[in-house]
Amino acid sequence: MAEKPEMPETSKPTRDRILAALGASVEAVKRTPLVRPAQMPGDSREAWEMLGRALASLGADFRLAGSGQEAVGEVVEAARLHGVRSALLWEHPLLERLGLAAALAGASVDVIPNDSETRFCPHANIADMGVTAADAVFLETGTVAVWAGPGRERATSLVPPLHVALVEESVLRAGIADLADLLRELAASTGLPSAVHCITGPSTTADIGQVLVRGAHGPKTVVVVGLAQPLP
Amino acid sequence: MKSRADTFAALTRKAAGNRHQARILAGASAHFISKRKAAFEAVPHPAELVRRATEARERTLGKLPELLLRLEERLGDAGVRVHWAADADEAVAVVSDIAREEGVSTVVKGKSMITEEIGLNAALESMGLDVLETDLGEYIVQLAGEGPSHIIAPAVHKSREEVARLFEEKLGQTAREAEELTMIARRVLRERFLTADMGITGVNMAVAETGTLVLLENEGNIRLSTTCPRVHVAVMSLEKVVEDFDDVAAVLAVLPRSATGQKLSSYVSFLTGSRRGDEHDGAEVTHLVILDNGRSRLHADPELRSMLRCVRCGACLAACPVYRAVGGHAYGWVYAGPIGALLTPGLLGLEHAADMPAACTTCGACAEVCPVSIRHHDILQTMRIRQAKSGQTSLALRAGAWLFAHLARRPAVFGIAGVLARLASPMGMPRGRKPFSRRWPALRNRLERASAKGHGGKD
Repeated sequence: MAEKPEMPETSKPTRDRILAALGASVEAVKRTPLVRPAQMPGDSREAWEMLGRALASLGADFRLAGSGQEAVGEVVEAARLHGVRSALLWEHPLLERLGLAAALAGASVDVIPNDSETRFCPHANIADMGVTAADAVFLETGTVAVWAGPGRERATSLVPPLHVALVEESVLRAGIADLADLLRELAASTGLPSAVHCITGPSTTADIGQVLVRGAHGPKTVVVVGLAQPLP
Repeated sequence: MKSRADTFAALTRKAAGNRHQARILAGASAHFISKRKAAFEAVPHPAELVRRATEARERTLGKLPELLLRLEERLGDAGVRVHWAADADEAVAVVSDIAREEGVSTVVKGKSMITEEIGLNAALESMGLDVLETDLGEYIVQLAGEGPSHIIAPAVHKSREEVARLFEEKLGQTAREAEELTMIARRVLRERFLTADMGITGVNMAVAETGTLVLLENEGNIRLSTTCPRVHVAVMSLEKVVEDFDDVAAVLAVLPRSATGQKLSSYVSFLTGSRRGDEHDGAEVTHLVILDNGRSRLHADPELRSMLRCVRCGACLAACPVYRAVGGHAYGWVYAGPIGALLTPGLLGLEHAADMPAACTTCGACAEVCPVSIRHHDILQTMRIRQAKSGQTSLALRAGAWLFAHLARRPAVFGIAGVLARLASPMGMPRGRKPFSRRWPALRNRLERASAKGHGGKD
């Protein structure tokens, strides 16, 4: 647990004055269950298809791989297609079991280290592509959720213009109501990560003349590679 | 930010003459309204989503002191430094002190209405800090030396050509298309993200149960502002606390749909404390400033309190005929449209925005689109009644209202007055026009035909 900081002495009286000025508490608003419009599809094929449709509507790419080898092939192909010369990878068991770093190196993509003497973001800025796993994926919205942690840098899915996410079937969930359940479970068990980022498609803006543009600050391209078969 | 809401009448007269702005706003409003409509029509039970989101926000308001205390404790457990600020001056002082103590010289900022409210940028700049707005719309208005004109689309009042000219003038580079202009801004701002000392953001929701800050965006500038710099300062309006993740999900189900027609914003970030010891990015120090600035007084006022449910989606602006006619800057302060007409007198006091409650046709379009069931027009009516009771209304208006009420209780006299008025035809109306009751059937037919033509028969 983080060290609990001291509240500045000046703040406590201010807090108490503010709380005292608030209106009195009223009778508790009755708690009703969350509305759950999204349902998990009956079988895997349907689930992957649902994900593919959601991602397509966001302008993100979806590839379904039948094996670990195919998945690696899809990542290498994405790198080739987008002229990637250097890549930043999460240090993650899935990526390691796939042998992704070696495959990329074999395709003449320079895999930059996960550590840096300098601040991490400028270091990540060198990379043309960032590759992560996915901690949860929500089919209703096509959302890829990533937790921060050692070896799971936030910048990897944010700074390079291309983000590739590897998705195992076990992380698929129906919709945002399930996100609430997931976060509650995390908080109660291992504790919440310092950051959870829910990524729904590429970065977008329509601030200039309401014209939709991708890649405003975050990645311009998102490629999701699904693993139809769990790794042996 | 200093309010000019006391000159609202003059500002609206000027704005109403701006045909160029009116065209842009009409287009933008229609765009947002149609996106919002499509998004809610695509879900099986939209009214249920609105009901559950309203419940979440009402729950917050019903136990606000308790939730704020719980939030403070959980934030502390997560290692976040919590500061309370009664007003704008205190909030600015807190952030300035943090910047000084942390040795900050460059700041990147996410879009945050509350930091506009407290005039934070100007204060930090006067300390010698370099403060850069990073949301594209905010960046554009910052370059132009203006304030944002819309809650979710700060530069909605600027056309593509105006932005191109602005970039040429201020950045020495430009392009024709929106995509290329956006890429110019991306390149310029990327360098600043990588070197800034501090990121300042607002807060969309703060989860009392866990001390988690929830931040929504589409561009990625908020993620960059909370990932790259060493220090993160979040400034939070005190009513933004929610009880737990279920209530977060309830708001997430309606806010992006209501704002831009998206199922979910491109990025929703849940930040619980700073980076852990073995992590390589994320802020090393996180501060949260909890700000009152008039909200406690609103909260304690049962007739006005419901405006604090607002989740800042901007749908009421798109729906409002008054906003469409005058635009955001005419509201003279930070918040525009129906929510602006409520918050400005609400937070500053009715006497500082006396004309604003009258800036409402009571059409109720705002209430129809509000995802948390605020009835803006009813609350504005309440404000008008309060003004009348406290003698704040002008003599002319009071006399006119007395006369009308007098006539309305005497139908025969009303009829005679109507005949005389139609003969005299004041205000440039055609002389001797038939009474409205006789003109209505034909007019109604014309309106129905036009409506069917414009909307394919649906209303």
